[in-house]
Amino acid sequence: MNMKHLFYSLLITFLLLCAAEIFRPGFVLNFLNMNWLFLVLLIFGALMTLRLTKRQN
Amino acid sequence: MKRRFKLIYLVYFLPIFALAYLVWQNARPILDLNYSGKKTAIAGELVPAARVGTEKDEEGEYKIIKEEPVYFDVRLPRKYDRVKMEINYSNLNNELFEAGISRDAAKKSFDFSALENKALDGLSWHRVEEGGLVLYQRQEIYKSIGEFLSNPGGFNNTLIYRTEVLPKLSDLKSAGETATNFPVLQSLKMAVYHRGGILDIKADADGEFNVYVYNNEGRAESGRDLPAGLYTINIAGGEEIVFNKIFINSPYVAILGKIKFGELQEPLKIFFAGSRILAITDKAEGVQEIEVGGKKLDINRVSEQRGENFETIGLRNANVPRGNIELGAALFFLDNKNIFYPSFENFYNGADLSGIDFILARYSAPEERGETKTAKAEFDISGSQLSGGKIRFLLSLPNSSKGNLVKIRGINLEFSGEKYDFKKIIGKIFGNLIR
Repeated sequence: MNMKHLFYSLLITFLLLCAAEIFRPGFVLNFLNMNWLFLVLLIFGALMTLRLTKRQN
Repeated sequence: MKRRFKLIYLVYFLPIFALAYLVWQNARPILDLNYSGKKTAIAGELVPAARVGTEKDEEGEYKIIKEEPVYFDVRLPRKYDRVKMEINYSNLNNELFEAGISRDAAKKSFDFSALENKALDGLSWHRVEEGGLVLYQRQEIYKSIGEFLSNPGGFNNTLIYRTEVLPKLSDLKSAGETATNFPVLQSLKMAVYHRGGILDIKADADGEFNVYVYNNEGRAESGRDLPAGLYTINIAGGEEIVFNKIFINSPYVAILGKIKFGELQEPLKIFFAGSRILAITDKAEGVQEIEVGGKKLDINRVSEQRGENFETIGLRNANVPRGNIELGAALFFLDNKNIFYPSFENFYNGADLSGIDFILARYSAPEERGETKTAKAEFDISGSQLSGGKIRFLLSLPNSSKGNLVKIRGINLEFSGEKYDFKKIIGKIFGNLIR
């Protein structure tokens, strides 16, 4: 299931970047808008949940 | 059971790519920034908001400065040594337009560079240009800047603008000492000619203070056994400190920039050299009439700067009856016996050039494209202290009144620094681990 791998990969990226920003403020936010990454993560998360629910039904 | 590798697994390289991209961005020796006055990830908004407006015309959106100074902060991802600034602007309604950059973490001390100086642009004097410096001469006397620097003009007929030149120091042979016998507040910056040996500096103050000594090249001196030469002494305490007495074992002492007096027990006579003097008080007890160069100067309101301009640069005296006042914009001397000039007077907005023969400036006129002008400035930021990784840029229009002062159409910043050597960094990390 491709959606699942994409979601996990984005989640790992998001958490890694959050950790990097906490340890070194500005490291991520100076060059990347985390809001967009978070939005993409939410969309993939929602799509994955929808698919899983459909399959279970 | 043998599992087949699926292409989709490649998405797990995404975190690695993202981190690699960010490491590259943070380590790059060059950082380019196009700033329009709006808040971005790296740069803050052009503030204070009350002094800046946003408007639009056929050329696009621009920021309009209505009162000076305005500033913005840039968060630097790493250490840089230099920054080049290119500013596009139009409709300048002031004689001077300058850019500054913060030097200290408190963002109180700034280095300035000229963007446009209408007075210098309008001068029809002889010009000699060399390495960013321009020598304006009423009559052609010097063929090169080097010739001027080795034998500069006199203190009374020379101005400098955004550069430093030492006037010729001669006949400084007297022995003696200098001591203040009146209360001085907060800090005092002085130029001292020292004959060699121990430079003795003593201060009696109500509170803690620091004494810094810098040599002629601006390098801090840690010891006090010093060779003969010109030194800058900075005695600095907190906001509330009062220096009751300051003693220096040299008769050649000039107070640089400003002096803030505490409550005086008796009227004080002090000497000053320059073509103007500024005075301000921040206390009701400081409201008084002072006499400067034979003219009355009424300091009748708190926190309102008053000034007096003179036709020529010269040595004059100021009589201060009550104290609680700050005098500035000149060189100050405690007596008129051992006068020496450790620096030239700085060019200022509205300076009377009738008695001036030479102006040495670090300045290049802006380029014009239609109504829009492009001015450039460059700053050395290798020694700048950052606060929270931020450096502050300031746009100043000295002596301007409120109104539509200038339209800012865009600012390009290029920070440059040392290229990181990853071999050295890894070596350092391993070195530290082994230790």
